[in-house]
Amino acid sequence: MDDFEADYKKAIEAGQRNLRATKLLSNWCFHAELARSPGRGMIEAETGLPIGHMGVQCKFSKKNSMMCWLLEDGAYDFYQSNCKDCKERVPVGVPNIMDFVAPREKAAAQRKKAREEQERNRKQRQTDRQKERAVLRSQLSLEETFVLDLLDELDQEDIATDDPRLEQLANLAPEAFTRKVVDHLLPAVLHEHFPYSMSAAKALLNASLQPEEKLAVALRLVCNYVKSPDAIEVILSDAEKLSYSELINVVHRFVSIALGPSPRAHIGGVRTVKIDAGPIRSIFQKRRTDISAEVDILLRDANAEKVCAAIKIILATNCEALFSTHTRSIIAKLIRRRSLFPEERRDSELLHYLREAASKCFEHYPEETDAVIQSFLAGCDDTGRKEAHRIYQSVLKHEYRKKANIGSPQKIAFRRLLWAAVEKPENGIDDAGQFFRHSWDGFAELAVEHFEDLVGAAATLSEKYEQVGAESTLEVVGDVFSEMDKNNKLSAINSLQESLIEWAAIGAKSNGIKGIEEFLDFYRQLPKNQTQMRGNMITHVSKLLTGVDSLALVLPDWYGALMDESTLVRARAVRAWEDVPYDLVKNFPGLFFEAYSVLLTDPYVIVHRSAVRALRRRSFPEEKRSLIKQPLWNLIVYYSQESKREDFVVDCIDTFTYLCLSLEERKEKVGQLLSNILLTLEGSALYRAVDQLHYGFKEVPDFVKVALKSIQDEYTRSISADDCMSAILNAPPDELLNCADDIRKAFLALKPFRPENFIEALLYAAALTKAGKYKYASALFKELKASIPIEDRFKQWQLEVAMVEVAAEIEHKIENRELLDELPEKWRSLQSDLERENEERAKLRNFPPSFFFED
Amino acid sequence: MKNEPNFETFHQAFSSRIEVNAALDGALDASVQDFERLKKACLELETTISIVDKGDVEDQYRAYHAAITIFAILAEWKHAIRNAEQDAQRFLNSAKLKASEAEKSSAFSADERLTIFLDQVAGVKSANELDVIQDHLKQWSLPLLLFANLPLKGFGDGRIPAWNRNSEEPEKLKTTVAFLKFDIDGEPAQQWNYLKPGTSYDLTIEVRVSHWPKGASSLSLKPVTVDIREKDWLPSFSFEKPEGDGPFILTGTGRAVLEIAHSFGSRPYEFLYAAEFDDTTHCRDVAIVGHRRLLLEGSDVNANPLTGFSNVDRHLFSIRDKFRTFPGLHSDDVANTMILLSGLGNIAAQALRDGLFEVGTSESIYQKEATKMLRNRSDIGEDLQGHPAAAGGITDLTFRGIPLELKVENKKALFPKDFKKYFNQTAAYAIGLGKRLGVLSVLEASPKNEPIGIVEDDIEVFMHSSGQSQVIIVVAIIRGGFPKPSTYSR
Repeated sequence: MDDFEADYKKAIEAGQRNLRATKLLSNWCFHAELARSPGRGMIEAETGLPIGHMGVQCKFSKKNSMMCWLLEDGAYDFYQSNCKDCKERVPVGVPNIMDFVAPREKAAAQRKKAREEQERNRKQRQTDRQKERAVLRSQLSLEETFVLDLLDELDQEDIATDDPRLEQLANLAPEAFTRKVVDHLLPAVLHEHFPYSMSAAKALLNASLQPEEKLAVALRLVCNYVKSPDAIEVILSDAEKLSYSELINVVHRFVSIALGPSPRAHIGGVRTVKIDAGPIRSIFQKRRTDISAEVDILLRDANAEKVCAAIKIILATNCEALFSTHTRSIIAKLIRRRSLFPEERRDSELLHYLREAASKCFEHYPEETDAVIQSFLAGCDDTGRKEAHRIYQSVLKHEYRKKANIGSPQKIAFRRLLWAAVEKPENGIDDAGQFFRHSWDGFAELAVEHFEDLVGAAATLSEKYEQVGAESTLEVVGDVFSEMDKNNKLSAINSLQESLIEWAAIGAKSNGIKGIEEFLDFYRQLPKNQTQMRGNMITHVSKLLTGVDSLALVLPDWYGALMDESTLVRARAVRAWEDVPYDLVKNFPGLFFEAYSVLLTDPYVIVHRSAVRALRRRSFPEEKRSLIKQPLWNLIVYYSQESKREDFVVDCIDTFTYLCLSLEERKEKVGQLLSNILLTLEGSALYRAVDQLHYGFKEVPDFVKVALKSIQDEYTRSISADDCMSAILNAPPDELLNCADDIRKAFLALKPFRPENFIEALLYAAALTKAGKYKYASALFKELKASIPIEDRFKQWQLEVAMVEVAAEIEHKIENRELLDELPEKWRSLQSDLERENEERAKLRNFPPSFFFED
Repeated sequence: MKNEPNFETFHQAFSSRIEVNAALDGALDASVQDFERLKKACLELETTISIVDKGDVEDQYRAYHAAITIFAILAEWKHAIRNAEQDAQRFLNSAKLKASEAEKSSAFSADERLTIFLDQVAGVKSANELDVIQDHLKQWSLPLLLFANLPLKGFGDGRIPAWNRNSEEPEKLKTTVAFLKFDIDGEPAQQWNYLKPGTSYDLTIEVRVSHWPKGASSLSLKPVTVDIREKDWLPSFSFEKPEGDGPFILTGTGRAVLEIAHSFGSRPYEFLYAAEFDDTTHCRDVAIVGHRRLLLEGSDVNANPLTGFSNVDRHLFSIRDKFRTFPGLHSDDVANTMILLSGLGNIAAQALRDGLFEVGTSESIYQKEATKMLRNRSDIGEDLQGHPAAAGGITDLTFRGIPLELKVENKKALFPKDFKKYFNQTAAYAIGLGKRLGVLSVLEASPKNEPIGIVEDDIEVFMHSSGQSQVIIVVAIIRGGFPKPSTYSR
């Protein structure tokens, strides 16, 4: 949320500019149409400003502008490609887009002029240099002129800066680089930016130079970011001779080699960069006092860039002494960053390296750093607290399939985060709490060691839960927001408690039978009225299962929880079924399954919902499914009543069909009954019905009707109609034949026809022809064709529609043994028209203006 | 998006399809022009459908293509006959062979029109019969291939781990553990087995292992049960790896002792023997088959009935099973209610047998008598309390928090369902005591003229709705007012 304010302002500003641009665009031309990418954001909904990607269309142009964040960009692009020489333009009023187009055009012309001027000057200087070399030639021997020949070749703008020819010449024929040549090259190498400056510098490094000249050339190379191991070597060997300012320049350059580009520079793809910390460490050994002094100076500065440079030096040298000396300063800067560096944003380089450095400090000196963090934590703001937690979290990084490294820093961090999470459990997005949301087996060792802390912390959360729950009596009745806030807090506390217990379960599991017994003992000792805690413990009981021994230990308590008096405990106990390992299912006694099936008839919603939910994730053994068939059916019947219809009925039907109905049974009456229930659903339940069931219900009678109803439903269309399309396309022909009229109605409901709904129209054509209703399909497409305006931009669409119409007509005639007449010819001519149209369209490309260089 | 129209395939497929259809007309004529055109169109169609994946519409195109290919051979046969070529019959034989092969291929052979076509081809004897087949093909319509499924790209051979190809490790075998025998004292185990509490029995298990997993050194058989107290009642077995190759037969005998007598509590004794090898990393799967579930009753209703009357015991067991189907009942409450019911069952049975209560017995006498008889039972004794307060009233009796309401009916011979008027009172006491169970016992001591009092009818369970919650009421009727049996015959 760091940058929320700034992003919000940016969006508002874009909205205001778009609003103005919309007005200017409508004044520009009667035919200009505004096009928007779909979707509306929250800021737009709140302010009414047009915020989002938008572009321009026009009926006389096939080329649309690309959707741009600022309409001005889109309009400018469209103006350049279409409006400049347009004869169809009908002006509406002033001011129009010329308000922003004209300055852009003017600026572009000026830039062009400046570029031309620069080019002229460059050419002039190039000619001067050539003349100079021509004069010099007369004074040189033949070998020496080889260098000048090469320089003539290299003195071109399009020569690569790392052209190796000059350097190779210096290696092969060092005698050609005589003093005269060196004297000619040195000023260009040390002070100029000619196309060959860097190549010449590399070449000179191998020529016979004075030591101070060599050092100067090497410095020039390194400071110009040229990769040259020779230059680095020269500098390192003469490190003592570097002046303070030269040293600092070199150090910054070596730091950049050691650290690589900052994360911000990664935008636009990942590049592999060779990282080498050797030079900086070596020079640090030689000029330690100077570099340390520089770090001190930089760190004391208030300027963010300087601080960043200091931190980078510390990181690059990786010197423990530097970390130790500056721990306090680094932690202080990070935790107080809100007041010290208010300008730094989320992607700030400084923050990135500060965090890295703080993490290293913590890794090297866990106890000391922890003490420093704690001393700053008292009285810091929320941002500071977050940064502190981030430092702790940084040592608890987990990599998939890699063994986690566990030592003193990890243990300290785990404990600190645990109690920080418990301190503010109602804050769902708290960083400390976030760490515990997902448990990792890699940290099982930490969980074992902190088992008591974990369950203890979880138990204290029960109290907080009750406190927050009790607050309601003081609130004003009917205050929706405070009620919502309270519920959010309660669910945050509950989910944190659940996560902590999950960690405890992982610890217990990895500790073997002893651990499991400890976990269960703790569970048994909980007072009966602590239902929240008992529920959260029992829901993870299945995560303790490793084999028959653990099952025998866990089962009695689990079975007891299934029969518990508390609704919550029953619901949580039944949910634990989700995580039972597959291999162990066969070792569960029948009584367990009987108890489970009883919970499907539980009068409390939370219990039977949990039971169905768990069944969807872990199925019942086949021989026990008869136990759940009737209860599931009862739930379906109950929840299909008019007032109860919601998503849950879909879950019940899904579970029932998957577990209790064979493929054959689905095709029979019971399948039809289920389809009829699904047909009564609306909105999100209807969407879920097709989303969840379309694979299993492929051959269920009347399911196509459900898909057809769903595809026309607003809710489904606002998400995705793709599953409905799959259901319709994969339906058997006789099912489609049954719904031919429904398909026709769905097609007509697309009116007024728009290109974006064309895929759906094709879907209906495919379905109708699969059902053998060719005449229907051809008639509908004829109607569609008639409704398309005759404009250039719709030509492709028109041709495609006509082809489907003709194809359906041909099939109809073949089926009825009628003569095809001129239809095949018509098909071929439409096909060649379409090919032509596609070729033309391939030439048009839509990119925003910034994608192209001018000229 | 999964479903996208594919115009290119549609255009190609449909163009070849109408080309085939146009060439069909003259394919059998004397001029070979149309026949050549048919062959060419047929090849084009093949190219198009070879790039599409599975699908209903795609299969219809495949069926059509298969039919046309065979028809092209038949047309060639006719041309060969017409031109008096040598061995023209080979074309017919080829077509018939292809037709019989097409019938067997799975994907599209179910197509109805293809089946008709193949039957027609199988029956062809002379070239004149080809016109019928041609007619059939000419009216063969096809759906539009607008949404052709294309095979998924990006899963080249290199990407799929070839874990069972060329791997050096030998294929992992499946191991089966079959339970062959379950004997208790030499007698095969039954569906229900009665064991006397505190007495030890010999439990013999015999298992067969098809293949011993590589790396495993022992197989353990352990009883799994839902009650922690029962954990050690049945023996665990452990077998070391035997010598030689499988299958192996392993037998073990251990002591089984039910330590606690089986009350009417909610938990029947169920033990499921689980088989587990100590290391199964080299084994694909361990399948366990055969009877390995042992259901034990801690009392034998015939030899040692808990109520003293075996028929009453059997009925009470069915009531216990009913309790288990109510979600959320506390197991201790169920157990206590069953103990109370065993007492009431005893009274009911005695009352029937000995005519304990005379006509018109008053409520106070009944209460005194019932309390005395219940307290006499060792498992009830001091836990039965008289007149505790609950829900602002005075309950008649309670047993470990379960209310027992006693009533008397002296006018008519009634059945449990007729006493619903007392349910609210009993339910109120139950809720007041924090329970979801209550017992109502009615002494029905009206004068009797005919025999009455079958236990199955007299003890019944009801679900009574009280406000938002539901309370379970058990009604037990004690019959009184019986004349001597000889009076019926008068």
